[in-house]
Amino acid sequence: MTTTSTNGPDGLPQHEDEPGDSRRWIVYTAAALLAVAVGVLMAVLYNSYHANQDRELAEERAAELHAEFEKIGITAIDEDTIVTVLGSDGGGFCTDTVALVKATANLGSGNGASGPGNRPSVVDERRLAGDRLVVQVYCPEQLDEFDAYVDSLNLDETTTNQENS
Amino acid sequence: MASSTAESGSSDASVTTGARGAPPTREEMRAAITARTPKNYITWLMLAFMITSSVASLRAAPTMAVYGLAAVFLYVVPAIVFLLPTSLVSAELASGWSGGVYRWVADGISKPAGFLAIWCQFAMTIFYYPSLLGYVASTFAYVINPSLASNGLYVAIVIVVLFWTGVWVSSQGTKTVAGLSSFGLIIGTLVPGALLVILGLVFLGEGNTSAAPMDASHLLPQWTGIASLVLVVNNFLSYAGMEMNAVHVTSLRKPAKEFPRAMFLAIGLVLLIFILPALAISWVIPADQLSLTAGVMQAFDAFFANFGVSWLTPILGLMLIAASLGGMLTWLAGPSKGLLTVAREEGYLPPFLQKLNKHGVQQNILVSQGLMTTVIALLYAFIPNVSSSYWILSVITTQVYLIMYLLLFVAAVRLRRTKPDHPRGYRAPALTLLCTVGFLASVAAMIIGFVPPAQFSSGSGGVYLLIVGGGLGVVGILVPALFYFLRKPHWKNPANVGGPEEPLVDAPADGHEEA
Repeated sequence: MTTTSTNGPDGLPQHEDEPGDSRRWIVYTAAALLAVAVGVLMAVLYNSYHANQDRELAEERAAELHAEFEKIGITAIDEDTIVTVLGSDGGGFCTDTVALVKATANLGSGNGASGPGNRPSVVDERRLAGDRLVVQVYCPEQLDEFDAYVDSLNLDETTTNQENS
Repeated sequence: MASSTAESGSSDASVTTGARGAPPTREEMRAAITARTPKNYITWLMLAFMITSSVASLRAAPTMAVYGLAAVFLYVVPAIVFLLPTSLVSAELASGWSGGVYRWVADGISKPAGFLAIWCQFAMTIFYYPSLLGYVASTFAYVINPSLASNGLYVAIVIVVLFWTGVWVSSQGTKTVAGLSSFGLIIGTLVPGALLVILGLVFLGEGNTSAAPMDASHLLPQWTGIASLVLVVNNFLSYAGMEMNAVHVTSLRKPAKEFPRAMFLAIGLVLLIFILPALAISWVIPADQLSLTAGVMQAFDAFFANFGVSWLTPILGLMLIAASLGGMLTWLAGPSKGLLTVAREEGYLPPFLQKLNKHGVQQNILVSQGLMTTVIALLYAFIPNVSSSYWILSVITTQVYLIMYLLLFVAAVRLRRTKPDHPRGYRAPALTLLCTVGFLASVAAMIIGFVPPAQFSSGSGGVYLLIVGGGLGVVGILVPALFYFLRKPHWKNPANVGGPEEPLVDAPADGHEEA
């Protein structure tokens, strides 16, 4: 039952040297330069994307969403925050239904793992109600598909956080 | 830090003074020392960062922030029943045996069981990379143009390019992986995590009331029946992966002493990374508001918007990407190295897969794994039904991974009983109790894995059991069984696999360290 090992004369694991890799600094430098370049690109495109948002429409929709939230008793959200996050087009919410379904399904019900232990856990039904309002205000053309997705969910006592609904 | 002269490693730098009869000069002494100093060891701090990077990032913070103060409970209870057992047991075993989980289970149970353990750890990662890199793609898209997130071509390009870049970087050696993953952890998790906590404290310091109640009555999550049990038990898996980097134990200068130290630091870092940022977000953003964010980035965007620093969002996006890629590197380098060990020693894999490159890295295992991952990633990117049902693969793979944990805990108890005198740099306290708790926690997580989640449309427990059980049987039992039964005696330690021999080198205790 015993396998060979690299344990030393004292029975403890010993350091095992690897063949040298003198190019390590090249990899490090390339990674750092790439990170800086991607960072600059992201900053520029982020600002460009947000600058192109229709501010008036964004404020109008934020006010509408704010009112809808209050109607169903969801904590009132600062309208400026809604403008920043959802813009005039709903941002990540309204890219398309596939993305929306993935976003809703994955974020709304994942466990607390950020590594390979990540898997679905419990759905918060209140989240679904809030999500629906966002779709209704920002991308109503996707509402039917969103409803179809929600209808397809198996929401019962083992899968939902019903106290919060 | 090793000096640059160490790079030369000249053989003539050995002590020549004896022939001359005069005391060696300072330069000669230095040359003699540096000539023997191994250059390719990693410090225990780097290994601690690697372990942390494999397991923890800020990705889950918005999800858990919804629970407010109860997030502490949801992380601490799993830490007691799963994190501590896996970490302390791994610390003991790695301080006594090199080779990681394969060696532990092979010595503790049997070689086929050892192969099964490392296979389960390795196979799980194949399905992990597409979802990890899909997250990277959506994070990048959120910043530059959210509509890209639904563009299959874009997602495919990001996944394939980043994955193969990761394969190439991993093939440059353990130390390169250690450096970059440590960098990813610091830049992508520790710095932004600290920023979130500081902003949260500033928010409270300005006299604002915490959005989530922070009194003792909110320490426990609301009891909602079985769903609460599902919530808590599924969180055990938050700490999956703590044992994985033990395969690099021989890359440390003093493995037996330094690995436990690295593990203890990693335990603390993982807990801090999971708990504090989630709490900080819950102070600032009401849970209802968090529920309205369609992704991790949107949640952080909302957080920063509260402080009027939305310009930080793209920077944070870059940081989260760096953290994810750093974590991916550790997963590329770890399980495949363990699989190589068993392949070479026991001939469970054909010689082609045992080939090493000039850095001593298992390049063909990485490439083969890469080809499989690429196919899965392309399906993930281009077929909406695959991406929207990918969650079921994550369930199957976590189930497969749990097999490894079951074997690990059994092996640890058996090793303590059958080899009580085997030298260990660290002995975990109450090991049998730890292993019992860890084993039961793993069983509980596996049972909960068979409970259909909301995404399973039909809701039929029987069908779900068949799908998950079937996947578990194929990936976790059938495939490794095929490798085992198809093995050839001449695949053991084949002479024709090429690659450098890796000499055992005793690292000098001279305090020379290379960060």
